This record gives sequence, structure tokens and C-alpha cells, in this order.
Amino acid sequence: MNVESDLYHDAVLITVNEPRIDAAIAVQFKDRVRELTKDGPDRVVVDMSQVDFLDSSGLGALVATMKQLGRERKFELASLTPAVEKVFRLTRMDSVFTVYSHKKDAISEICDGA
Amino acid sequence: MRSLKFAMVHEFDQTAFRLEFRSDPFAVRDALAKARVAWTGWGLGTETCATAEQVLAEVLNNVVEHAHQEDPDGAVVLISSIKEGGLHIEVRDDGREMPGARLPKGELSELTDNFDDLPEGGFGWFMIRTLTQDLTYRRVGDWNCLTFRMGSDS
Repeated sequence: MNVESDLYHDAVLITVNEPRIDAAIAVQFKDRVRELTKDGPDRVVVDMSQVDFLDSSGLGALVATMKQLGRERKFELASLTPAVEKVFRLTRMDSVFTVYSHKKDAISEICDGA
Repeated sequence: MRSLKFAMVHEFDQTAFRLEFRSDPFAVRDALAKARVAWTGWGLGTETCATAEQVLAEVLNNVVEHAHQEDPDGAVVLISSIKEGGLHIEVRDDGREMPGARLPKGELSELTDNFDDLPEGGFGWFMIRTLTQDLTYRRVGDWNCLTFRMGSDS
């Protein structure tokens, strides 16, 4: 599964290089993010720019991840593609997550081209 | 074990396709990709194809998880065509009958301020019901049969 992490001063950036977070990989995705975030900063930002497709399993995995991290930590998303953004909007889960247009809006250390 | 039989069937002035595959999530991915190629070939726009794929993914996930209860050898048949009223889709499987012989209502959970109560599920049937028209379920012999269409306002 192509999911990477980069550590910043006050946040960990998770980059999802999978085009789909769906029933085929939702469980592995959740496990991988948990592994990458079990230590490190309280703030977790997920770069979703490569994800073109999210089904209800994928959405459930994102919610479960946020809940598992707990109230003391922040779980935020960046760069939702149109189809993914539509799923959040339809299910009203866009009111539950903090969503940034771009990872550099979420983490100030990230400059263009990084 | 993933095998995909694909047949393009031309009927009168309709264009239709039929796909038969096994009930595993990767076969579902393949089927969705093939469906999108066919729909695009019929001239349907990106937005319509994306919405149809979204709905079909939810329907097929339910077949894998609930009708076939994660058995990767269950049979799934996908039939799609353009007819009056838009894009028609039919999904058949030889899995377990829908509980109560009826489709789930697909209502979203109430969102409260309680972090621990945030819903992790219940989204699939809501999306199916919201995005489709004429959603119908029938049990025919050993087969479940779900039909719906993507109206132009989906």
C-alpha cells in the first residue's frame, strides 16, 4: 500500500498515493495510518490529492481513524478531489472533518515544490 | 480467484453490456473500471459516470459483504444499458436473500457533538437511495436482483 509519512515540527503529513480508498483496501489503510501515527505529533494531516475515489468503506475508515486517534489529537484532510468531496458533502461528513484546499494551508512549513 | 467474462451485447437500438465476476473486492474494482469504459464509450459525461460508479461500488460492496458474506466465490452479474430514462443498471447475485426481503432504508445517523458516537457506517445505502431512481429489489429463485437507473438529475 502506497501511503507515506513526513514529519514536521507540529504535524505528521500522511500522503496517500493510492487512487482509491475503497472496500478492497479500507482495513489495510486504517492499519497503515495507525502504524504511521502511533507516535509523533498530535496533529495528523492527510494529503488526499492522489485519491480519485472514496466509497463508504473508505469514508468509514477515515472516521474510524479519527476516532481511534482520540479527542486529544487532530485528524485533518487536504486536497479532496471532486468525487471524494462529493461523498463528504452528500453524507454530511464535511461538517465533521477539517478540510484544507492544499497541504501547505494545513502545515506552514510546507513550501511550493516540496 | 478473479475471472471476468465480458460481453458487449447489441440489442435493437440499445447498447448493453453484461459482466459476470466473482464476489471479491478486487473483481469489483475491475468490474467498475470496465463499466466506466463502456459508459464513456456510450457518450455519458464524466459526472454521470462518476456518480454511477459511486452507486455501483456501494451496491457491489453490499453484495460481497452481505449477500455473499465475504465468500470470494459467489457469482455476481452486472448488466447495464442506456434506455428511456437514462442509464439502467442491474446487479444479480446468488447469495443470501436481503433480510426481511426488503432494502435497507439508508438513513444517515444523527450527527451529535459526541466524538465517540461519530458514525463509521450507514453511508452506503444512503448514497444508493439518494443518487438513484426506481430502485427495486426482487428475489428470483436463488438470485437477488437489484435494478435502478441514474436519472439525469443524479
